[in-house]
Amino acid sequence: MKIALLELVAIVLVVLLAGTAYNLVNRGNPQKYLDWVSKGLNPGIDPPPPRDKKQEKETPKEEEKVVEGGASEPAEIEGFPMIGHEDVLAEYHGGAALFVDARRTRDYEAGHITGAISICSWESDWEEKIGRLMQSGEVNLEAPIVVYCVNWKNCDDSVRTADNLKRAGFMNIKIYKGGFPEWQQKEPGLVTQGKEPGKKP
Amino acid sequence: MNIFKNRWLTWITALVLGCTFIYSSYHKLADPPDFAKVIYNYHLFPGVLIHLFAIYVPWFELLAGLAVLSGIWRRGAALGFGLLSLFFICALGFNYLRGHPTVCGCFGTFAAGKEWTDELKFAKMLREMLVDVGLVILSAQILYATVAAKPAEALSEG
Repeated sequence: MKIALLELVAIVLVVLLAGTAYNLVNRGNPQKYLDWVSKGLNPGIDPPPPRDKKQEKETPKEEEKVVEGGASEPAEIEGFPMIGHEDVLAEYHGGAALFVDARRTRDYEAGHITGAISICSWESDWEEKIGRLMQSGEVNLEAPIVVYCVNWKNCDDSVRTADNLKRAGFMNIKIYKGGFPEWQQKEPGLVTQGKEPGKKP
Repeated sequence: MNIFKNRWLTWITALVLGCTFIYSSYHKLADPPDFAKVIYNYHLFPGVLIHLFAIYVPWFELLAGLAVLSGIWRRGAALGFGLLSLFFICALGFNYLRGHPTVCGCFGTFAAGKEWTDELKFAKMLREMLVDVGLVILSAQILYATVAAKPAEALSEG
């Protein structure tokens, strides 16, 4: 057993070398590189409440609305208001709102809401992107921002990005409940592919 | 003759264990941020450790997988795999018991874009815990066969 332990220590040492070298090699690639100490991540020990929890026997709270099957949909998630498609569309055509795609860059490039910028909190360049956004002067801190990913039940990316934007000073952040799949389905003409955000109509 | 010390059984076990962990490391090495996201979703680890896990765990899986297959440092690799699988069983089990649906992320990328219900996630958690129990048993067989072997046998096993 002592030999097994010594061998394990040897493997761990090689792993430390290989992992460090691999991460350093990926330094120029934000889609692969990870900061050594994660920034802006504070998962905490208490997980968010289950999102599919049935509330058939309980009376729904005022801020929750009951949908088919008895499941309730909260009006906010981790302190950020969630808005449905109609409200998102109103924000979009209102013109003042900035749309932020919180999914991975590869998903953004495959298709995003026309005019939306990409800020994925899992990629190492998110701080730089928020810094650029603030320096660009395109949006002020009170401007409405709509963050989206897949949908609120299956994607925490919106919440992470919203959290990082909030810490940067943005005050009016909302989360698009249906996310990109709903938008793609209902507004196929307002989807852009590629690295550029595209121009809002 | 003790079947659990059978050389051929040990080779087959090493093949299965090594290939499983090498396969498991592939998507994590290809997309480290995705694995960081998986670890985050366990809601068990401090924020500052998440990236360190995501950087080094896949390399452990790959290198220890190669070690088990090649026979070099096989005992150490088997011990490491056993401990790693136990760790995942505890993490998944804890989240299962406290009702937090967690995507294991053990053998595939994060389910971004997939509309998984919590019910489906819990079913997957149970299945993944069973797979991990199997991996612990395979690791234990290799350890039993190689650690208990006489020095000459151990050498021939690598």
